[in-house]
Amino acid sequence: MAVIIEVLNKQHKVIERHRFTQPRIALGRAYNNDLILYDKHVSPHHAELVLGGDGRWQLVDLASLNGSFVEPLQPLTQATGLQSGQLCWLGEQALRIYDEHHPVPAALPYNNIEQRLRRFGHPALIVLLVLFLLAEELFSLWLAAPEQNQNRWSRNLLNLPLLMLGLSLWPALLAIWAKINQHEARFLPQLGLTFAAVALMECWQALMTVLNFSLNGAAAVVWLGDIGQTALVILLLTANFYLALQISVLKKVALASGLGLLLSLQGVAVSLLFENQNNLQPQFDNSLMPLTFYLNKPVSSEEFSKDSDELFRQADEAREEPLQR
Amino acid sequence: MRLQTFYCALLSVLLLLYSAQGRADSAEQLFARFEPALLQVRVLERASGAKAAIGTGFVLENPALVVTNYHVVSEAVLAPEKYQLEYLNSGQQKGALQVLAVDVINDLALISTEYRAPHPFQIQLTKPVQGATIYSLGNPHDLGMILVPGTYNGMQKYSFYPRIHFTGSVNSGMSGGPAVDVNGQVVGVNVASAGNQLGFLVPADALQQLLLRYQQEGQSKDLRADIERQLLASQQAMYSEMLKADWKLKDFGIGKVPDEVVDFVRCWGESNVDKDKDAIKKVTAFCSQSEEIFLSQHFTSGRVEMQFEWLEGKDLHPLQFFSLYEQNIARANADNQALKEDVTAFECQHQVVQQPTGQHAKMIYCVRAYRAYAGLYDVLYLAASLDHQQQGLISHYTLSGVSQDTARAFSQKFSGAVSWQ
Repeated sequence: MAVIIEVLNKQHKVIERHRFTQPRIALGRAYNNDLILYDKHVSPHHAELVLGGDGRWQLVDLASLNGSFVEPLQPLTQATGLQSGQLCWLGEQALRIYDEHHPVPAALPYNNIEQRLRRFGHPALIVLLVLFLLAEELFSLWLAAPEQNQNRWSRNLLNLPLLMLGLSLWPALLAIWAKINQHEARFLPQLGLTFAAVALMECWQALMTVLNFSLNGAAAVVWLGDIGQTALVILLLTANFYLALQISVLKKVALASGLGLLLSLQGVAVSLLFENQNNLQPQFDNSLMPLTFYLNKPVSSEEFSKDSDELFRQADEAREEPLQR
Repeated sequence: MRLQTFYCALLSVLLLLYSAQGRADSAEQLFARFEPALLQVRVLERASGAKAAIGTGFVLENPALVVTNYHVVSEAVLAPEKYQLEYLNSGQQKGALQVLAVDVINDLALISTEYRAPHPFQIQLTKPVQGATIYSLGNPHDLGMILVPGTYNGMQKYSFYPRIHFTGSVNSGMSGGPAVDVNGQVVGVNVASAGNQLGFLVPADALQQLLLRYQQEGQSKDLRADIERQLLASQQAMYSEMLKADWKLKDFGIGKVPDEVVDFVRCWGESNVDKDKDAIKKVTAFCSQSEEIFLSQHFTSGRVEMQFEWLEGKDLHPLQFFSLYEQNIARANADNQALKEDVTAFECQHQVVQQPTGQHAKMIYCVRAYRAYAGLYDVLYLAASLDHQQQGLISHYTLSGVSQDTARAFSQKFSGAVSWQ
């Protein structure tokens, strides 16, 4: 009966897989072994796998220097029968032994989501996204610095590649992480995903700016903006982790949500902590845009002065409240 | 004949000498006579016994009270549990003082004392003539009582609160000291300095009014309530004068804005029109009644400020123009000093408003209430016109220490005065 030997690394990931049909298999570092190992703590002729009379494979230690062990880490003193799938160690070299009838899990269907996410790695899409982000960045430079100041423009333009490089750091990090864990790096899909998410965030921000002006700086717009940003961050992280990590979907979503919420809560916490110090400064919405961007109906002067009267009432109420020191 | 001429000449020389001698004597004599009636007023922190503030006070003949500035004794008025008052006279004697009445608008306080001076001061209600020599007395920087000769130069023109313009040094510590004419009669009370021989005095008639009120009403039962009443009455008087005036308007870019609407509101202006490097042309006009009422160390009130900005960015895209435009209304704040112990946080509203004439503006209106004085508020208003793609008119005012009715009336008058196409 044939035997399958998996050579494992320190993290118990399979690095080699061999199938033998002979009844006696010599294991060790010497070149005349059937399976040649290269861990330096393995003896030249370390152990043997022998097919027993009962059809079970037995591991026999050949008086090796560092000994042999079977799961759960018991030192081998005599020939020991192995279960199919049992782990054993020659010195520190881990092996897993299967007989050929050992059941294997059913084939996994293509993961739909994963397939779709990988499409973000299409070079054309990435080029398109990069162009969009550059255009957006140029637009905001143009808005903020209309002076025909050559120096300032060229300095800002030189910063653009740096900005793109900065944005690529996160996908690079994910790719390296995946590679360390012996998965596909998938750098391009991660890059595409990150750029797409940043582009979406910029669009969301632009939408919120118009909405903020149209709704006169309503608190709801601020909340909507924050919630949208957080949702986008969580979505991006979930997609990133989907491609980079080999953990269950539930764990990926939980990890992404936790990290995303933490990032956005940090902003909220900062504003809550420092809000009180600034409260002598009047807080108002100063957004101004051309009137075409105002999607709401303007109020009349009478309504405005009526609302002003309400402010006096609110100030009187605040006056009644005890002062917090 | 020759002898007669000689005697005449001798006589005139002697007369000249005598008169010069006489004038020099009078300043010295004045100081010697009145020095015992001058007191250093000290605010002591009860816990440490250390001086928190010092000023000068003077003893009046009738009634026998001490006069000083409200701002010298404000801590003892507002926090009597923490501060107490003490005087130090020329004989280095100390004694207790008690505040009887205050006038925050004219920065005066009446104080009772057991100390009696041999030559107390009298009030002179007739104003000196322009250019007359007057003497300011006081104890600058705790260096000892001094006499500063100077000139009476009429009333300060551009202040709603009456002040004598005194050409002579009034230094800190001299606050609350008297300014006397050559006869030693009080024509004013030292109150402030604008540096370089430019001093301000509260006129004697303001002191006389406080004395009359005290003689009618007696010692104040609640100084804080008095202050509140005075603030309400003062803002009422100032704004009714402003509101009933016919506001002069001036052309200002795309619109019209008020100019110096009453005597005590002064306007200034600046622009960057001749600078080519700025993308936005900006013209600013700034009007104010900048004299303020002292309420406590970090709390002032009584100012009015109006500001107008006309912006134009001919070479800019409307989006570019508006992104710069909005930065111009980002930082508005009250122009009086206050701590959060004194006022509530600003409550604001911000909306796009369509005016009856059809024009649009983003308007911001903020209100904060005075914690210690009911019915008084600071108000801030900002409006930015939205009817042009590359031009904008910002109108802005802040009022400090006004009632809701005053604020409403001012708002109406102001909105009616500012216009643009």
